[in-house]
Amino acid sequence: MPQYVQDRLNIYDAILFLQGLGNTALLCVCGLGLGLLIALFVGLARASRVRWVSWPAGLYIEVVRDSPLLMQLYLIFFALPLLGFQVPVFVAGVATLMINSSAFMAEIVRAGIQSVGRDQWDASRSLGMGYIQAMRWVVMPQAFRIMIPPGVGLLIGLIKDSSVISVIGYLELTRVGQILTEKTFLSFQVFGIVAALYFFLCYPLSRVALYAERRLKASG
Amino acid sequence: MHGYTFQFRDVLLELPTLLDGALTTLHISVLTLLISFVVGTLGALCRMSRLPWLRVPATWYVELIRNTPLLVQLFFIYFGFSQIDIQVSSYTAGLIGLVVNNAAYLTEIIRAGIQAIHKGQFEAGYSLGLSFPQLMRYVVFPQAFRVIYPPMSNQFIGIILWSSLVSTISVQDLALRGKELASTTFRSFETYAVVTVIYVVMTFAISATLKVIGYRVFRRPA
Amino acid sequence: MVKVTDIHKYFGPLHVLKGVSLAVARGEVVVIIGPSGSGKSTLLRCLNYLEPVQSGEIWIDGIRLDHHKTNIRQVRAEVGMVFQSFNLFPHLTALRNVMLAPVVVRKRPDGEVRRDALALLAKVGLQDKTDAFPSQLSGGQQQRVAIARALCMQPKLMLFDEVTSALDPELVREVLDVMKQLARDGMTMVVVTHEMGFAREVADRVIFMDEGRIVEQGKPADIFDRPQNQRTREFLGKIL
Repeated sequence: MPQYVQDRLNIYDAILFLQGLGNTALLCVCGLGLGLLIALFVGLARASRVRWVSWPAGLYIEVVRDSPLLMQLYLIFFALPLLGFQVPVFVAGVATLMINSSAFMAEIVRAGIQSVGRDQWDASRSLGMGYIQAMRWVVMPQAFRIMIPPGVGLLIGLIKDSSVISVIGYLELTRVGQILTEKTFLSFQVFGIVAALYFFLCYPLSRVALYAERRLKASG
Repeated sequence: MHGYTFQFRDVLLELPTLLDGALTTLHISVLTLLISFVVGTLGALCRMSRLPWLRVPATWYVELIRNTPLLVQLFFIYFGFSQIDIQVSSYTAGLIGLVVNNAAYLTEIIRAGIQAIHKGQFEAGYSLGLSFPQLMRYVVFPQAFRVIYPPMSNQFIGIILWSSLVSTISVQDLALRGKELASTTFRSFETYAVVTVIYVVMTFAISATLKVIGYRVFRRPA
Repeated sequence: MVKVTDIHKYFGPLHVLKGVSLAVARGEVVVIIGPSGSGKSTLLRCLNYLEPVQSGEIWIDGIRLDHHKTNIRQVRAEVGMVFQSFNLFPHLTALRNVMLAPVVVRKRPDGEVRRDALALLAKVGLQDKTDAFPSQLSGGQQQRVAIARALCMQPKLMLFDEVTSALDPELVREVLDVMKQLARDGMTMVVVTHEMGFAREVADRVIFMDEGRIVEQGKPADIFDRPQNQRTREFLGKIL
């Protein structure tokens, strides 16, 4: 690095970068985990043939996918206090990522379930399994394979999306970039490092997604 | 609910301001799509080139952009310009950021569209004496466009939604108008609810329109 | 018209053409036969520079292919090619398929080309299908459009690459009839085919290829009735 950068970006800033990276990871893990839970239910509902079950699920998915993440964040951030909860920014951030990712993941779950043929259901039923048993032991294990490549793609999207949480002041990676830019005015260097750290998280995952997709295609 | 009563009156009175912001959102989104399409086409041709000095940079551009957040790219460009003392309006910086980001995705969409075309089409075109640009213009693009159209429509919806991030570098779009309104009316939740509805209606209407257009245009047999 | 001297062609480690030499005179109809994998289609594709060769020379009408000064597109414009899989442009009508190259490559006026194209479509028996899209035509009709498309460039040489192989049996004849008419009109043609009846009736010369080499050539009657080479005899024995 050139001399003037060292003058104004010091070792403590490096720690700050790492802290931001850690917080970004924490946001994503929590958002993804909770989102997955919701997505499972919404996705199952969406795949259902009962219309009053699948329709609300479809509406939920559409509305979330057709509105900006930033607005979802603001709504949650400003709505929760109205309901009487004073929540830390971290919780608002996780809630936003959870809701946003659940809608996209629900579609992945639905597509996965519907990719498993009707004959698999018939076979399970003929063996005396109920809906939940057939889903748990026959359909889901097969659907899961199909869900992996888009699922990893979604995780990459989630990591990138989590940068938006910086807007409400949570100290994740992008927020660290803003703070250090305000302090040092070295925006190219600071955001260059921030981008590199995101790339470091996302690039390996995108290789994994590509690999999984090719393997899935090869296996038919 | 602690006695909170929803109050949409103040927000709805300012609806023209919000719609003005929505116009800016549409404006920057359409420009982004058009410029990104041109850049993405060049990017796709570079990505598929046999010349490594075209292919390798194009590949890295795509990977770099797709594996970093749009918000960071916007900050990099917006604050970067001020660091090197170049005066650009926030609208210009926002547009550049959105184009740099979306052109990478369009590069991949267009590349997939071109690669979906059968090898025989290239051979037939070449054997008739068509040059590479002629082949692209008359044979490949008209067919590729059919493949590209649906994912490009989705991309356009994505551009509209993600363009809300340019509000963070003070472009006067729908999101920023909403934020300003929220702070003057003290009706944050109501404001953002209305703004979100505007976004949903806008994207819903546009995606339905694009579907109808696509159906009309591509009804001809292929 | 065509002069090929000692060309070698490799696909990676695979040696596909092992020193092929060939001359075709103006107005001559040459039919190339041989088992699949013998390199006959590759040879044809080399004549249009769809495949570059690693060594040897190819001359078309006095112009050498694979030479840095040669404008390959000019040569291709003079050579018509018809493919096994038709390769019509699916987004254009039959008429537009035929008109595209003369207008775009030769820069001829639209109205004039339209007259020629309509005449050619009539010649191949498709005067009532001019506004149909390829997907609305049968395989035989598509292939006849493809022939008209190549002819509309007024080529000096026509290459036919197994043009009936992808057709249902009952559609083969209509395509072969068009080719026979073309041969009678004096077109220089190089034809790769499995249609032995066509070869016997139309060819001025038949070439038998196997394993990347020309094994035997001569008048159709000589090749089919008195083959000299053992491999030719085996091949003909299997298919006749």
